[in-house]
Amino acid sequence: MSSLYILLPVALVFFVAICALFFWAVNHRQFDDLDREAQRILYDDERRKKRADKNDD
Amino acid sequence: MCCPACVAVSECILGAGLDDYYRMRDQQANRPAASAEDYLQYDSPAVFEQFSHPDGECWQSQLSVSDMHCAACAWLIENRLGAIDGVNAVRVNLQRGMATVEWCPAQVQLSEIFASVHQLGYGVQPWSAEAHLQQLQEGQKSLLRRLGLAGVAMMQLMMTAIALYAGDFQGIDTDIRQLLRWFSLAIATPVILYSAQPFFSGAWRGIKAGRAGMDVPVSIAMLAAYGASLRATVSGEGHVYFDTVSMFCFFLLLSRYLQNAVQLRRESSIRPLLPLTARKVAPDGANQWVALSALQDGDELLVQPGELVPVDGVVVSGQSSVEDSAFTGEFMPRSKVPGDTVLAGSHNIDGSLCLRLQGHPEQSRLSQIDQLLDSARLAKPPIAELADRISGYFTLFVLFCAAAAYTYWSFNPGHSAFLTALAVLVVSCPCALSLATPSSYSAAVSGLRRRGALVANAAVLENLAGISHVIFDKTGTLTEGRPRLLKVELAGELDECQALSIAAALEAPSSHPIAQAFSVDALGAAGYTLTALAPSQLDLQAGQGISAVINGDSYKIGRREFCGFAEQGDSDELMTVYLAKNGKLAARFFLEDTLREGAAQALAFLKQRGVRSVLLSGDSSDQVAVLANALGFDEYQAGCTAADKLARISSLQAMGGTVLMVGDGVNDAPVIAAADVSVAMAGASDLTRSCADVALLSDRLSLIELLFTKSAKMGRILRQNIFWALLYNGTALPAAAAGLVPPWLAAIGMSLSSLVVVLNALRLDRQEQQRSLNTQHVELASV
Repeated sequence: MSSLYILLPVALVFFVAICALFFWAVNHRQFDDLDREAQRILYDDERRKKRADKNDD
Repeated sequence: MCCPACVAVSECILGAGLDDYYRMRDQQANRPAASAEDYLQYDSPAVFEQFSHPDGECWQSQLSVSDMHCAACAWLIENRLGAIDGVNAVRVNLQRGMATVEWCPAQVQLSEIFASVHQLGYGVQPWSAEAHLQQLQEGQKSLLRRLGLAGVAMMQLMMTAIALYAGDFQGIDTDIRQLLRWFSLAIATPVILYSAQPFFSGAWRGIKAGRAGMDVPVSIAMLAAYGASLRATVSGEGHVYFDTVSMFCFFLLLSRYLQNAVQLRRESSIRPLLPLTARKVAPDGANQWVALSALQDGDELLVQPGELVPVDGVVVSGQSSVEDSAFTGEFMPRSKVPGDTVLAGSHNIDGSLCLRLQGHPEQSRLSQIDQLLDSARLAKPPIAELADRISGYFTLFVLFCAAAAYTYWSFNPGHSAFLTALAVLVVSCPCALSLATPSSYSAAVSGLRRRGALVANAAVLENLAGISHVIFDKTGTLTEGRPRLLKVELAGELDECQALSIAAALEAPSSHPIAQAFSVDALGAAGYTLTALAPSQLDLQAGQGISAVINGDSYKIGRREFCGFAEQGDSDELMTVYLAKNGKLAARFFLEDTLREGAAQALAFLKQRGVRSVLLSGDSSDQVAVLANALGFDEYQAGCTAADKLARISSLQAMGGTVLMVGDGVNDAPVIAAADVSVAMAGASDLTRSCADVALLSDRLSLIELLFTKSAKMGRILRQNIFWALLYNGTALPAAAAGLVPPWLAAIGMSLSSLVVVLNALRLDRQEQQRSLNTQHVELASV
């Protein structure tokens, strides 16, 4: 049981790490728009780029 | 935490993983200053004009208030601001996080009002759709962080809680038990210090206001459970409830998060958020991005396919399909060519358009509609105020019940007195009660708005249920108000084209709908070739006709009496316009006004509902009778003046009738004001529209039917919500007091009960299938 004296503090470190990671993710807008990101793969980046180039002309 | 600034500091500290600060610090830190001086900028008229409009000597300002959670917050702000000299009226909309303040610059400065709201502990900003949305998103983010922390902590704490419970049954080393408890304490502390903050600050505000909201019992429960566990951990005796604390916190935050998400979604979907910049076309043809606020009347802008139209304007060049369902509720895109008007917030679908800006970019139709809608949502129906009052007393009752349950179970074996009291505190949900009405109203108003009916006053929806008579105007309401020329009957030496050319020349200066039938465009479209004539001595007699001299001959066009002819055996179904040349009949024109689509269905619907329909028309021709009989009106009266219509309405009201008036003309404005509920057609004058309770955004009479069905549905959902709130509280409270509900279930139950109310209300605002299809279409087009 003495391993708990090491494992619990380690768990505490993990807890802080996970919270810090989660806060980072929220602050960096990772959760702002969950629907859009799933659809992003459907759009063709190449075509969009070409079109944007054309508009610039 | 005493103020938002402290909360911000604590978020910053915890965000950096430095939460030890709170355990190590030995004295209170300084408060970051947020003084009234910060708000002095809002005293300048140039600044406050942007979110205020004048109302006599006073101004009405719209403020965006953040951190409001329950009815008590709204009450507090209303009362605190109402007590300031020079503030005439304050209305707070909890759901939208918005306060409308009516104040007199002579007596009070706007900065004082801002500072007062700030002192109460709420964030305050001038209202603007974008700022508000951003505020909501910020609030949502901070909730998500709190929720995430509580969730991770909850999982950790349940793990140790299971070990501790097992230890209670099977025996456990005191050392190990203490280790697990200290570990739990370390995890639960950030939950109390950070995640639970919204409840504590809400409770504190409620107590300061002398009005306990739902946050008070929740906070007492969490602090009591945490305090008892802390004592047990330090002394090594008794029970710990850290898992219960984190679970309360997690479930309550989850429900708040989901409610906010619903609000946020509605907020961003109801109004197409206008872009902040637009492509301005310089005189040399080059275009550059310019901020909307920097644009001026007459500037030309380029709108690419797939973009939202940023301003109200006229198409100068280009051609495209534009979808403006935000205004008309009509999802089919309409083709726009040079000369057409395009409104801000419409979707440009498949072609580039060059627009000329009309008016100020920030005074578009869209923002006017938003303002109307905001004031509609702010008006509190009496039933909502009653619910707010009840929920205040209810909280006190809950505190009393918890104390009673604690006392009872302390002296009787069976259940833990402490856990039972916690369950009672948490299970009750006064917020379901105070949410029931405003959420239903707000959802119904935005649901109707989406389909093209703008409700200016939410109480109207309640009144619609009792309508006994519906009065229709004829021209422009039942009919399109755009007569078409059907045939020409010649009587003199003129041929058809000559007669029409003369008619067109005479009618040109008039804006009467009948004159429009003779406009060069309308006749040209019908295939007539006209010669341009120059009339002199034009004399226009309203409601009668026009006389003029062309090439030495005198002409008169208009009613039979005006031209001075005897009865000619006119057709009943058609309008007849006479043309006289030098006093002799030259031609008769027969016009037809097309019936609006859906008129027959609307009338059939009213008949089926048992509502009496009345046709009051200013038109004195026999057509009124023909139309009334064809559509199945119960009563009709032709040749009514506005005074006649008014008299008719008051006589109906005197007989105990409730009258709905549907009209469009300028002269209908007083009539519309007198009716119990009034509906203005899309083509109505601005005056009529501003008097009306409901302004239609498109001329579909089926919207009348929709108004009735929506209001009936709203009544049903409102009753369901109130019934549910009463039922839930009525059964959950005794069950919890009897010790039948464990604390974790109490937290879930309370969260679910307010979610049920909000989601049920949202059924009123359900979007049509078509909408999503159309958005997809737009998205595809924009790729």
